[in-house]
Amino acid sequence: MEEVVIAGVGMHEFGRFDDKDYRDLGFVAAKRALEDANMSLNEVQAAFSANVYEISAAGHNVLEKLGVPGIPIINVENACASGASAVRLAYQAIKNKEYDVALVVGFEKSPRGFLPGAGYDRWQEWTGLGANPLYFASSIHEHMVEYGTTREQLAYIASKSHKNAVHNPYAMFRKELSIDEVLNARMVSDPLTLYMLCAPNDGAAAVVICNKKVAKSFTEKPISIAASVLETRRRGDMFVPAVSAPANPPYPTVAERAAQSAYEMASLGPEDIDVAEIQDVDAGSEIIYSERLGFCPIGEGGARAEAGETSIGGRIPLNVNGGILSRGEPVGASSLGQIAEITWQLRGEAGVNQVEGAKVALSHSEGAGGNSCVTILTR
Amino acid sequence: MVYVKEKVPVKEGLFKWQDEEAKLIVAKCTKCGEMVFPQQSFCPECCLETMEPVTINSIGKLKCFTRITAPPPGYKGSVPYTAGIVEFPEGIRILGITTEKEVVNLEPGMEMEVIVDTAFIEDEKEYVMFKYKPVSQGED
Repeated sequence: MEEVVIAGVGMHEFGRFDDKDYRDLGFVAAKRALEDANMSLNEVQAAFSANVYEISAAGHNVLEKLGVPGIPIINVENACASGASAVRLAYQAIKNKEYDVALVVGFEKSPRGFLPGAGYDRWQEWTGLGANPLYFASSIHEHMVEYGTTREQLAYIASKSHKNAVHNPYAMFRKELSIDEVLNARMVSDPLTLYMLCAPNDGAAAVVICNKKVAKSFTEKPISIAASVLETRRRGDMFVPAVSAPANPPYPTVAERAAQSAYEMASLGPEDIDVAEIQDVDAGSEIIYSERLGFCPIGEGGARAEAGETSIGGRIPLNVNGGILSRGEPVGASSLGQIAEITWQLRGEAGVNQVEGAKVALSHSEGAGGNSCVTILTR
Repeated sequence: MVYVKEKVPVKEGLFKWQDEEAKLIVAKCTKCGEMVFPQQSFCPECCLETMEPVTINSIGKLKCFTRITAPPPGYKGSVPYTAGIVEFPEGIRILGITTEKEVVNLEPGMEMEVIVDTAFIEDEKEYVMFKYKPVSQGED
């Protein structure tokens, strides 16, 4: 087994870019990641692309402008976890000595409004059950009923996210929002207001993954991949587009299982994580996942956030560059954006939002189909 | 007045409704007892073709709910509407639309009854769907 590192990362800004297509976005991110790794596509032995809404061979079309070296290119679609799933493929191939260098590039031009095509049967769509926010809202509502989580705590999360994003050049929303502004925004799916939900948008991100021995000749700042895990839901996770679940499943949720596998793989625990980017597709999800990833006891996520534990300077800073709530979610690129952000954190290059002395970082992405990816990086 | 030639369910096999009490149809595994809705022939736990359809109690407890104000993709009904998860005594939770337009009419833990009601009318057909109705309602 070989040790695997990240040799370079790059992003195209996340936002709405009506004059650019997915090729333009992906090209910029891949170019920046290769430049960061001091490489050209000629050094890359395999490429994995992550995208949800384009039709066919999209990764091939993105990379074409950087060269046509004849390497294998695999297009990965795994909903919100597409990028991290592609990283896992590259990670496994390098770990097993199949390649020394792989490029992962994720890109998206998201449709406007509620995202379509999350796997709903047509009767679900016809009757109003085919709505992603319905799932997010129901989950956090149950959390509120069971543990006393409050609307103010949800607003706190959204406000924290927007404050963190002010200094992030890659984020879509870079304006501070007060708790009152979040609470008084349009109600989309009770209890979630407009600012408590992420906006699907456009963007791209890329990561160069390398055998550690080979990386030395390209970069002086390799970041190790200590774990790369993908799990999918069991019946107990009533995730998009599932309609039913057992009332008391005798096993953990998919996020708990993915985290547990990742911690075991890395020989680390949640207490070792210095900074994390987690799937804050809505403010409620940040609370729920902060618990399931082991950062605080079940039921306490809202209160702990409100007490500042997940803010910059707190015990376990989460989504310190604004997370998905402020970056927006270009679905195929989203989790690669997380991985780029935590790579900068571990290199000490995160600027104003740097978590001092960060040595271990975690990325978590979860979405339709019940995919859950946890990636742990160390320096 | 919209002319309706026939009533049809939004999908066959979701619920009993014609000439009988409205009940949801789930699949139950004959080996391990796991239940799933909508019904399917393979058990999600055993991964074997061991499921058979059974109806469940028409009353369950509302665990959580939300109100949707903008029409999601493909939706043929009107907004706003509310939806929630009901837990049935057999030990299965099922997501469904409620009869209520406002969340003020809903309370966590309240009993909800499965009814079959109009979802939408299209091409002279009335499509019907199961909905959750607060039990206290309509008894006065």
